[in-house]
Amino acid sequence: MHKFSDKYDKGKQIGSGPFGHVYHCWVRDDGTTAPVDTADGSSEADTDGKKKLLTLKILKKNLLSQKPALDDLLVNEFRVLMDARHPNIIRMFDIFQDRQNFFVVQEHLVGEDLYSALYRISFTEEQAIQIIKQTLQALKFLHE
Amino acid sequence: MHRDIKSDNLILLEKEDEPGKIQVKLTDFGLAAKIDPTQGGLRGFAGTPEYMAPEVVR
Repeated sequence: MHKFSDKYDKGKQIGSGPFGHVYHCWVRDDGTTAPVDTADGSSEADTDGKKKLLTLKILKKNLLSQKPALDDLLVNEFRVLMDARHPNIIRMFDIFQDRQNFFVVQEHLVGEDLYSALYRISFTEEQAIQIIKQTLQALKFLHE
Repeated sequence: MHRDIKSDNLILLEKEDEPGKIQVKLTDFGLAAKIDPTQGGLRGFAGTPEYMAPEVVR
């Protein structure tokens, strides 16, 4: 299992960032791959039989401007994150690489980033406490 | 571990089990793993200047 396309299908583009683009993706349904286990412990298929939607980030190696010798180091750091399971940390499922790109498969989230939310929402004190508390819980988990 | 904590990297969702409650998800470890070869690998520079601690910027 060395290639993204051996295990997953890529869907439409849903965003982009400084280092590449973001897409929908799913575990390929050819019956040869083990189910991906998800954050909530269910299999990759939802109860209605539809494939669990995941997010794919394709990061351009040349935009990350790093030496090829360090690629494996970065992949190893991602592998560590794949073991990090916490309600306040996005789940990482897989990482692959080819000559030009990294392929990062992660939990699909439908939400809004805090930076954007602050432009249109005035949070209550209680909401602010929840946001800060959960952020610190994620950090504490990562540092332990 | 994550060296670029900022509001852009915190995604807010509604808690599935508690509607109306906020669920925070820390994301975007991509930049956290960004490598500056001149700094010798993963201990090197990572971050967004506006959010970096003064002693890191210096």
